[in-house]
Amino acid sequence: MSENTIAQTLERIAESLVFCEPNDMTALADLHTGFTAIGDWGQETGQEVVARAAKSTAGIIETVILEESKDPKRSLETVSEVVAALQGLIRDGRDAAEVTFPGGLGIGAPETGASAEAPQSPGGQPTGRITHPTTLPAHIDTAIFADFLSRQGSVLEEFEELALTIEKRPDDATNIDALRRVLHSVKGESAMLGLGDVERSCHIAEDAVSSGATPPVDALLALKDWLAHSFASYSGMEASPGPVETVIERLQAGAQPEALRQSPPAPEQLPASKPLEGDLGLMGDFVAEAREHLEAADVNLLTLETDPKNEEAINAVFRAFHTIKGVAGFLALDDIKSCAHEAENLLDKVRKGELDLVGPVVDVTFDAVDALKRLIGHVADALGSGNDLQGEPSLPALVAAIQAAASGDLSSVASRTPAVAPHPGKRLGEILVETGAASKDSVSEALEAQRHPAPKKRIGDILVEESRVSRSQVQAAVEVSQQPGPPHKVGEVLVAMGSVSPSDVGEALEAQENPESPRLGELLVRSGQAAARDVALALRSQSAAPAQAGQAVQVKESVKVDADRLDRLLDTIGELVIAESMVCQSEELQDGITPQLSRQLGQLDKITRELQEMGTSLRMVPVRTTFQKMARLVRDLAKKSGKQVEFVMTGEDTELDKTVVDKISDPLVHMVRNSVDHGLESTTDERVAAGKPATGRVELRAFHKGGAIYIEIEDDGRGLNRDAIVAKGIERGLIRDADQLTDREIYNLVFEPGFSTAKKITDVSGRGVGMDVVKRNIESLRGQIEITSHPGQGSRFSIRLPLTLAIIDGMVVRAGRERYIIPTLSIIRSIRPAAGDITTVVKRGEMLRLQEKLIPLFRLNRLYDIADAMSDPTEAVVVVVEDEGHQVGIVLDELLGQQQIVIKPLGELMRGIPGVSGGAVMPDGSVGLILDVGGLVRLANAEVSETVAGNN
Amino acid sequence: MQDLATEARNTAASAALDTLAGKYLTFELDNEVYGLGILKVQEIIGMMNVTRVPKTPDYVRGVINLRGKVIPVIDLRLKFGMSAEQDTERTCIIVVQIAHAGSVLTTGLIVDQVSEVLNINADQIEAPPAFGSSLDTDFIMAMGKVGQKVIMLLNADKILGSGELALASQLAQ
Repeated sequence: MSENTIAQTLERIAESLVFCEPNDMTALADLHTGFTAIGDWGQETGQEVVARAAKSTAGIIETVILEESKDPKRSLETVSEVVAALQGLIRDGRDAAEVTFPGGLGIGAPETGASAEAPQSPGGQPTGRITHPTTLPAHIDTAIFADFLSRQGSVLEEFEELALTIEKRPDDATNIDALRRVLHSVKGESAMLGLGDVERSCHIAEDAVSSGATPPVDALLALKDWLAHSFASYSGMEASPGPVETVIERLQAGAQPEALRQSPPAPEQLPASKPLEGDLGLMGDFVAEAREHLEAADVNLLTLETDPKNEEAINAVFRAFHTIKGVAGFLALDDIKSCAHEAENLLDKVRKGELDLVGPVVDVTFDAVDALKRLIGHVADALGSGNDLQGEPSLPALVAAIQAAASGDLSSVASRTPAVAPHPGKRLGEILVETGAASKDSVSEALEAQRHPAPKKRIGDILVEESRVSRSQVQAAVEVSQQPGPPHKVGEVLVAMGSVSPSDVGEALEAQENPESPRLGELLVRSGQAAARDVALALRSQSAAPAQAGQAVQVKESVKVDADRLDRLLDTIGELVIAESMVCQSEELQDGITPQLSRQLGQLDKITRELQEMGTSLRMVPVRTTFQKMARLVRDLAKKSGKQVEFVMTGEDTELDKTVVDKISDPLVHMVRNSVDHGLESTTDERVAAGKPATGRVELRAFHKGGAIYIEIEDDGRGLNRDAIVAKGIERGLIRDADQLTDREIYNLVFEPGFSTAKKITDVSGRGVGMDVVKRNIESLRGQIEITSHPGQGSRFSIRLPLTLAIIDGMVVRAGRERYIIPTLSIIRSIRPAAGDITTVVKRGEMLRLQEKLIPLFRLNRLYDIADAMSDPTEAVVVVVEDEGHQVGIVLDELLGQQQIVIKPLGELMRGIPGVSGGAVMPDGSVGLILDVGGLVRLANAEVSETVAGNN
Repeated sequence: MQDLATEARNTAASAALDTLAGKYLTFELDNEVYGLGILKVQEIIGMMNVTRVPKTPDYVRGVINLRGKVIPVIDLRLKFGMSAEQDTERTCIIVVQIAHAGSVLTTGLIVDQVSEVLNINADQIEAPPAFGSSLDTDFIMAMGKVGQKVIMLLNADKILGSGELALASQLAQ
């Protein structure tokens, strides 16, 4: 019981309190248990305050449960106050004296218990610090850390994928860039979380990748593995990984040769004159980030022009400055920091309503944004060229102006505003004609376009994007247009100011009306390069980033959901489906059904099915991740064995139930390893001699076929050695001779337990290391595996998996008064045997003659002690099922019919009942048991051998 | 968290008997009155169709479908070594939540009839009598005396003592 669990308990209590009604007994009971636990913990760890608070609260909850509380609502409120106080104590690590408990609990800071405890453990706080299995720095918020860890899985996958792609196509800079970004963000985040080793190794890897040399893929993959281990160990799932130094050495060694040819690696390679200090990687990141923030600030300032009270926009601008200030301070970029700081102060006043964001104040803010952009541009230049960081001469004046504006002294600020000659009361057309800038036609055209109701993008934005005007000009124009008198269009004013030609305005208006490319424009405004002098930059970014822009808007929104919650949802949907079918099939309803009711029931049925389908799809994930692992495996194996292997994957996007995807990984590893290690010829000469290309080929495929999903592994190697397998099979007594056996039966021998372990056969045919495990794993997923092989041409392992694990096709059977379900997949046929077909083998039970074969018969009623079942097999039904290649007959009373069965676990207590794999809710609401054929056969054999042993 | 709860409960059991004071759901088995701490009880349902599960001890009546969840049902009469009786109209299933190996199991207990919820004070509670080592009476926490009645207060977590859980793991092998 660590504080961690207690903190979690509290968190859960807090959550459930929100929804807790005084009459919700289950929830209340949960709360009670939670508080009792916390109380006991408090007592054990000597935290009197916690103990007493929790116990009294448990008492309160009890009164609510027992309906003794006068005001249950109020009681629950008190409970949540206690929770808040306890969270303060335990999670946030506050001192007992700082936390106020609600009255009536007998807990105040000066109480004896608390004060007696306080001197012994100063502040009473071993609390607040959450201990982790490994070296997690103490100050970290666990929530942030957990979030970080949960994201790293996919990050590392991307890492690996990129590394492998780079190896294939080392010249493609986009992958290298992407990899650098991945490394960079891991580095940044781990730096924030204080994970020194991770940060350091990623930093070095980043250097290695950025050095321009061919990235050391081996070392990078080693780093990826190390990171995976260390993240796993942080999540408490693994022991600590090895020391990071080995990885770092490899990375450095990998980067070395190229680096020697060019220039020494960073940081030494930087020119001595470079005044930029600190982490250059972070710096680059900062530049990109700050630009984004400033762009956002620009956009929001424009919004504020027309709507000065827009709180959201004010906050957004404030945040931009705030963030920039923070990071700049951290990176010791003092100019940027001070400028952002002043601007932040100004905006803070606006936020608090002490200042209105109008006129000169807006100008000053714009100036600040522009200045920051320049400053950041300098940083970027310095980063890129290695030159000195340029200063910004106008900065002191600007800072003074911002300070003045913040203090409410607008006069000094106003002078900075560009003078605009107002044209009150004049229409655009008049002004245009006056200035001779445009023809009447073009003006009216522009006006027409602007009246168009289509996307309401502001004309100013468009003009700025198209680098026709600077942002401050637009802003001035907006100001003018807001002056008293008939309203002006911004475009009109701009034209009037002479900042822009009317034809440009016309174009802009057309663009405004044109719905085709609104997104690109938006991006440009957001990319805010629009601030006048940076227009060129905007165009550059426009040409550089269109693809990104497209992607950015197409990204699907997704919500991360707790897996437990998802399972609960699926359970509930399952219940709904059952309840629905119970209603629809109820006899009462069938008797008096009206056409209308029938229609409505049909509708209900349709909706339920849809819901069920949607629910099932929620659990589906693409096999990509697993396949990706195989790509890595093939690469490593090929390196190790010195073979040339081309690995091809298809259908990575095929979706499978998450459980299946998780479980299929192990068998795939076995099979892929077999294909590379043993399937492919050991030398290229051997391949060439056989008339095959020197490079071996291993293919991994996933696809849908006939209501199932297939995963296939195919190689173009030697193929299985049929003769060797037959020889081994005979040697082991598994078969007598090969004459009557099909290829399939022979190949299936490799799945026999222990078959593969014999050195001889592995040397010859190579197949079968752990193949029995593979088969077992796949069968536990209710899948099947088949081998096809052609000598000298290669072999193919084909795995057939059900679409989902939650539903199976089952045959409902009856024995006595009990009903069982046999998965349809394992049923071969069912017959009613004639008396002559059944022979009794001494002490070995009954055998059934079926098409010249003898198969053992098992009576379900005997195995399961079922009363009233048919005892004469000739009056009963024999269901022939296949288990691991052997056919057996199960004697039952009757087949009741086939249906789709939703599998339910039988729960902890009923786990491991022989021959029963799970339960299912039947249409009448009762539970049916699903038979597991393999288990049944094992049970029967065990009983037979017992009897034999007993008889002997 | 669950460990914690279990431990908390165990401590509670061994602590002074007056911590046992509180509300109990009382029920009858073979004309004896038993009590279960009210906080352990999730709900009481009428007798329903129970599916027998083969290869389980006789006191495991089987499994039922409780609103889509399959839960095991224990015949308490058989579990406590009493004779089996026909179910009557008053036969009930008490659904309890018991702690086991770090998780909470929902389990049904079949009883002859459910009586009432009683508030049992500390002064009405006595330690369970020693039955000698031959009887496994771990699951009796204490005896409550209310009026003329003697109520055996049960520890729900221990009703399904080591026996069942051993069974499950034994079968799994």
